[in-house]
Amino acid sequence: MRPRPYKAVRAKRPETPEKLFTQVIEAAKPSVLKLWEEGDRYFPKEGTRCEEEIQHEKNVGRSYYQCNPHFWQCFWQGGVKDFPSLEIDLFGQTFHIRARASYNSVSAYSQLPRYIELFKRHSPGIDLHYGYMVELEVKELPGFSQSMILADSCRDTFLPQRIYGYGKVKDKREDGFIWDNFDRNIFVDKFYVTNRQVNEWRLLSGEPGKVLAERKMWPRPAFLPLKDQKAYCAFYGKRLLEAKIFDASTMSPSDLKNPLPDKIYRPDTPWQRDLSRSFLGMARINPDYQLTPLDCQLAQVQGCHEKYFTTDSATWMGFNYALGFYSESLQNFIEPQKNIKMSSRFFAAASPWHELGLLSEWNGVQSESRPVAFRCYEEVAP
Amino acid sequence: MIIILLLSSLMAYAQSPLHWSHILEVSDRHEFYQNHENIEKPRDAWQTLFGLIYLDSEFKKLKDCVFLKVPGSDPGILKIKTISAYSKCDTSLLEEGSKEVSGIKSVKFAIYEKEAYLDLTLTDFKSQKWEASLQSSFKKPEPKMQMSSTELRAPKMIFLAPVSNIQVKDEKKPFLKDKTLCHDINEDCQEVSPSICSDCSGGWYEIPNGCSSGPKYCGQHVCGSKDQPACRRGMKWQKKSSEFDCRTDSSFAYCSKGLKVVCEGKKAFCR
Repeated sequence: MRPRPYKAVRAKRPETPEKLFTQVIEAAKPSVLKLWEEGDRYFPKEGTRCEEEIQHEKNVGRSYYQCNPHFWQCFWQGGVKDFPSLEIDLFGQTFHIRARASYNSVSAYSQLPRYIELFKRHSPGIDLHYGYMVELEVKELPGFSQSMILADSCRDTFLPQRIYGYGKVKDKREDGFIWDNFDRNIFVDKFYVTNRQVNEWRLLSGEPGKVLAERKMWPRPAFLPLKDQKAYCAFYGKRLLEAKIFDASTMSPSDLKNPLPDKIYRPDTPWQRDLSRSFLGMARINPDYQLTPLDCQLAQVQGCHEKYFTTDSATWMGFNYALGFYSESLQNFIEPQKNIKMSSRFFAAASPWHELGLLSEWNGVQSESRPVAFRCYEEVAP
Repeated sequence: MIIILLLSSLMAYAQSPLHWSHILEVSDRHEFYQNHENIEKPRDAWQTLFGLIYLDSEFKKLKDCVFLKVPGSDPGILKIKTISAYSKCDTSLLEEGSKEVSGIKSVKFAIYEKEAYLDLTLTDFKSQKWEASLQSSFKKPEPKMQMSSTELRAPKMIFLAPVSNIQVKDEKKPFLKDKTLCHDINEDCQEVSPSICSDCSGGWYEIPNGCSSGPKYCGQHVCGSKDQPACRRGMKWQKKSSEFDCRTDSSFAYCSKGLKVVCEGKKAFCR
């Protein structure tokens, strides 16, 4: 028997413009989300034309433009292309989706009205602590618009539920401090908290005067005193990263498929179990060791050029900057005095600090010579 | 042909409110009326048919309650009343509506996963069909590698209804205060009430009690130091299938170096 010829069922074009608008916007969801979450893909090679929003530098990785309200603003105000729109083909017609500049200007940013507005929930109800409000219209259907909240889905990443080890062990046959996060949903920031994010916190907290104006500083880590680091994380329902979660995020498990292994290994680096086989180990025994570009991709140590938002050394679960770059502030409820990851670009490759599981004590006060970055984590309530 | 033309002239597709195309969920549904049932009883009495919950353009969570005075000796009345999503429709049953349609001969409604319908026949034999579209309902996914916290808790994009400046009573549900018990788990590890910890303003903390999920309270997570709750260490790393009772095996919790896990009932604290 011959199969019956396939007959495509065409959705009927709605009779009223209201319903047509609703359907066009619904169909545009994936494209809008793509622009928001994958702003890096839309970033032009020749750079943007929106100096008040983005002053791109070569040492800023494109990941910075994911879920980035300044990129959204830049795109819609014509900083990426002259006539920005997202095209949707529906009911045999091409519709052009555009954002509206519906929100008041933020003087700390620019005098132009905004295509995006910060949102922080003022009462419970919907389980979303913060996000960004935008309003879309369809060029072919004037008179209608749709407001929506875009969530920040690019910031953190899930820490799989399994057994983990904390810190170093003197004897490799010892288990040391072991813990597990079964039945817990822990999400860790992929990068350090940036000045851009702290600016948003300042605006939402009614402190626009504290917004950092220098655009080139926005993608860089924020160096807040410990008290403010904790306050920043708490504002968004998050917590300052804990030392044991830092170790869990950076020490690659030997068997990813087995969440309950018999032995918990504590690798010295995220990419090589034994330090001696990495460039850091080689640098320790060879005082003349010359850093290669690949070494600097793995860990930004002294002598490497700074690179922000690089994913070159992402760990097994998507955590960036496990070793090197900046010292990182950590909460430690096991050994409270060990509250900083020292490994940073201020130490030469041969420094003994460049090793996982090594922590030191920080008094919570920033110094210009050795600034301390931070990130947050969140345990999502069941 | 004449009959068809005559019938179509009687079928008036009245505009249901524009924001009904942005409904998040249906609530307060009448417990007895079935989909497409002609509502005839109790005659001449006000009934709550259902409520439609949406977010207005100021992110206020509102509810349109749909009430009906069932047709009886007098024609029926359909009434829409906008209230806070946190209030029950029944509390506004006898209040003046935000919108009313009188002269109703018969009413049917139906609620499905993605739509809700309301069919009205008026005493002049004209019909009205109102529709509401439900945004795709959000089902919490299983957490997995590379997933963000946002994806676990809410849709990545939430549509807001094109209405604003609607004044309602108790429009804002207050955040839970610090130290409020937001997830009640008893000593037998039973969930006494579901978690409302997402209603805490600035996070929550758990007091480990040897259960896979311990009782939780609103507030900053600080554990392990003197006189604070112990920190949760987990129940599987020990690789034994025993029940954890704080008095006999407190390995599910830990304190900072130099402090001991002390039990208050089954809850673990540090001294």
